[in-house]
Amino acid sequence: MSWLERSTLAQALRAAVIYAVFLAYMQGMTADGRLTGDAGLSHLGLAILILIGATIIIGIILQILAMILAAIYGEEAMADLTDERDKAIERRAIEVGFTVVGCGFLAMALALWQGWGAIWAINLLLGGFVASDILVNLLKFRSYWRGA
Amino acid sequence: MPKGVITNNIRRLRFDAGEMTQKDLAEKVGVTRQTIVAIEAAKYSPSLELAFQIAAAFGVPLAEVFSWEQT
Repeated sequence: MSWLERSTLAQALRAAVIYAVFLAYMQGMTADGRLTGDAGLSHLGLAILILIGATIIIGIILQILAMILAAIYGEEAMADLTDERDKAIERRAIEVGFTVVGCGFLAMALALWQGWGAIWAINLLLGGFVASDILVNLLKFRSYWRGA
Repeated sequence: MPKGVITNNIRRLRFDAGEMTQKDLAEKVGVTRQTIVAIEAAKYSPSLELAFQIAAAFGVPLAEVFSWEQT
């Protein structure tokens, strides 16, 4: 498995694990009754900000670790080079990712229409972003794996 | 638009160039070895600019490296 394959797989796993932790935290907040009323929205906002921060920081740490491991094990010296094929793979994956984000947005609108409440609606939108992040990285992994 | 397939002679040209490695070719044209592998296996079609660079690396015209066949 090449450096890029491992890197994209690690990023997909990162998103899945962080979101799973976030959902568990959300479940705890729901059980505590902290997600009700205006204060509930405030708690949710803070939780989302922490989620975004954790995603960025862990993503950077994973990237650095991957580069260190690549250097230690003497993998391709050009591991940090991004060429036109990488950009094409990224572009194709992001096109699909945007569709998933759009589906999340649509689900949010439908939830609001059905009177599910703002907290559920926001979670559906957030779920769309996370699903998009995971899918983009899995699609990139698949492209690198197949050598396409 | 008619459909076709882009084929290439990179493997033969590398052989003719004294068994130039994929890594050497990648370094000459400034891409990763994986990209050369994908182009050689006809799984990725390079940009026109990269195609010209590959041809220049072998010192041959573009048509000697790549060809297009209608399917």
